[in-house]
Amino acid sequence: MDWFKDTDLFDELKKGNEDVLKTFFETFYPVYVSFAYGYLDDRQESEDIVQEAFVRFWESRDTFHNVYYIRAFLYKTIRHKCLNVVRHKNVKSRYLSGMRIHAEFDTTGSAFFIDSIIREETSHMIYQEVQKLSEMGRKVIAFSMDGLSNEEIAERLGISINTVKTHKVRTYQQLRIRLNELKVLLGLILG
Amino acid sequence: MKKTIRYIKAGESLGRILTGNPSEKDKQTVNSGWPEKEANKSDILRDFSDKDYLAHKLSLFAAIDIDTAWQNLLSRLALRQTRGAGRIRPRRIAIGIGSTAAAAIITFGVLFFMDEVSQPMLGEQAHTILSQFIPGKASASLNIGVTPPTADFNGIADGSYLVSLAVDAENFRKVSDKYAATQSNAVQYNKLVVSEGSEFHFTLSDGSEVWMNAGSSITYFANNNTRERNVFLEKGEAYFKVAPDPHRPFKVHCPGHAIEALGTEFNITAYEDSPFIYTTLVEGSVKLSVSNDAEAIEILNRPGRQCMVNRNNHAVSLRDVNPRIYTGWKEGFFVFDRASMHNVMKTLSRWYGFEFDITDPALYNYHFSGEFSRFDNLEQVLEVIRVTGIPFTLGFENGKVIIQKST
Repeated sequence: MDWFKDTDLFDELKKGNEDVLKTFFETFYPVYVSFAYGYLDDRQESEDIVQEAFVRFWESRDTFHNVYYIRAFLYKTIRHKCLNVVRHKNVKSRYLSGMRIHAEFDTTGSAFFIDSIIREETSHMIYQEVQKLSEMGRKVIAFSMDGLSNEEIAERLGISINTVKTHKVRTYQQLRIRLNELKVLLGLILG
Repeated sequence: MKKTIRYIKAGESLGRILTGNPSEKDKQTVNSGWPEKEANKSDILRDFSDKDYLAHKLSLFAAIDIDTAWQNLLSRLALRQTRGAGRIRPRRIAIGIGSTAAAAIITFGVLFFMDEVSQPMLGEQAHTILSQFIPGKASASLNIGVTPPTADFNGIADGSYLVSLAVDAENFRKVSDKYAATQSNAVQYNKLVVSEGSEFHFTLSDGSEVWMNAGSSITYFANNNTRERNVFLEKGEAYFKVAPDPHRPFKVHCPGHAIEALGTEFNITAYEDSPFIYTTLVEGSVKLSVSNDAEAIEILNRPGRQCMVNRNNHAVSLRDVNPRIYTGWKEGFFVFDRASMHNVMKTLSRWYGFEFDITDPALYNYHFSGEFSRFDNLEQVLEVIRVTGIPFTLGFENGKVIIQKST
């Protein structure tokens, strides 16, 4: 399934093929929930709004030119719904330079909207790469990202510490999150 | 929509670079084609090179129970279908109306008199799409401790602020007090941003009241330490009920001119899609002065007196209008008096939060008069406009409402 190139899939989606809707939903649902969460800081509410937005898309599905229009439409619809809900929820956490800080900032402006879209799409690309990894490798990375030590991971998964280490190395290699490239890019921008 | 797609693609390109299989186009997008002005690339890159940030994002994705969500979606879809089947057909007004193009009928309360007829304007699909566009609500975003713009708006404020938060009618005062300047003589300005699909009413520190319409921004004096009461209407529409204070002039600055008031009520319409800024007097009197032109001073001193200032050349003209047309929004009504189809749709879209295109320029020539509650549903409003004889049908494309001429 490649939503980025496959026009047949898109045609099927337009025709109302529910199986295709299902794969479309499975691919993009987490992106939008994460996006809505940035506005609302509430998982359940975010999921409700995203599902409503998908309903709205589905009802007007035959009016879209390509899958990017659908994705843009979902972003805009969800943002609108979220801003209607945003009331007393002022404080959001934000991550800067490796530090988690709490800051109060404006979520109604377009800057926040744009920044969020880019972050969600970038995360989604990385997430899809992660999903291609072996299940064990994925679990190891997930636990490791949760802050568990190699020992704890080994215990939870019932494998040896060395196996954990091997999975880590191999998975990170596969994942190729290129910190070096990042540094190059950062260098370009920051001089 | 195009812009949003561009941001999606920028995010995808960055994602492919980070996971190590970028195309040439991806590199180009991130290096030279980035929407730099809007999104701070170095902030984003810094965050993504941080393992904690990445872990936070990915664990959020991974924690989502897609199977359950899919089941929920299916039941939502099924629910809508059954609801759709049993719903009442679109209706039309049963009172006699001539169908001349520019029919100037008044439709006060007309929705109560609607009757069943056979010809629906819209298909089932349009009905469900339109039902999603809901009227606005009272909410705004409050930026505390901003630098006000200069009076001529040339040096527009730098956009910095101490705190920014979402407010509603109940917590506005509490939040303002919490962040009030602590020094007894400090001057403080705050900014309120009311997005499309919202409105907001609040009271200033001097007791004056301000109503803000959808899609408006105002920077205002936040305490009584200023010699003048300065308010800056950057865009949109606002209604002012000014508390009298002869010692402290009350001035509303708009791009190109300023309105000075002493105990009065007036409305200013300054949407950026119009070349004119309208000041409509409701009560009392105001003095209008044009920036950089000491001689261009106009006094509005009777209800309904209106001044139009051209944004581009600052030309000023005066006329008398029915003030209700310009201030009805504050009481909860849309009031149109021979308003062009384009203006009508513009006003509705700001409040119901949708985008639209009018495909046939011929439709621009049609005008509509009438009055609706701002809390009517959009489909009913459009139906009333259509039965006055304006020949349009609705289409939908990429989530936009397309207004076509019907034959």
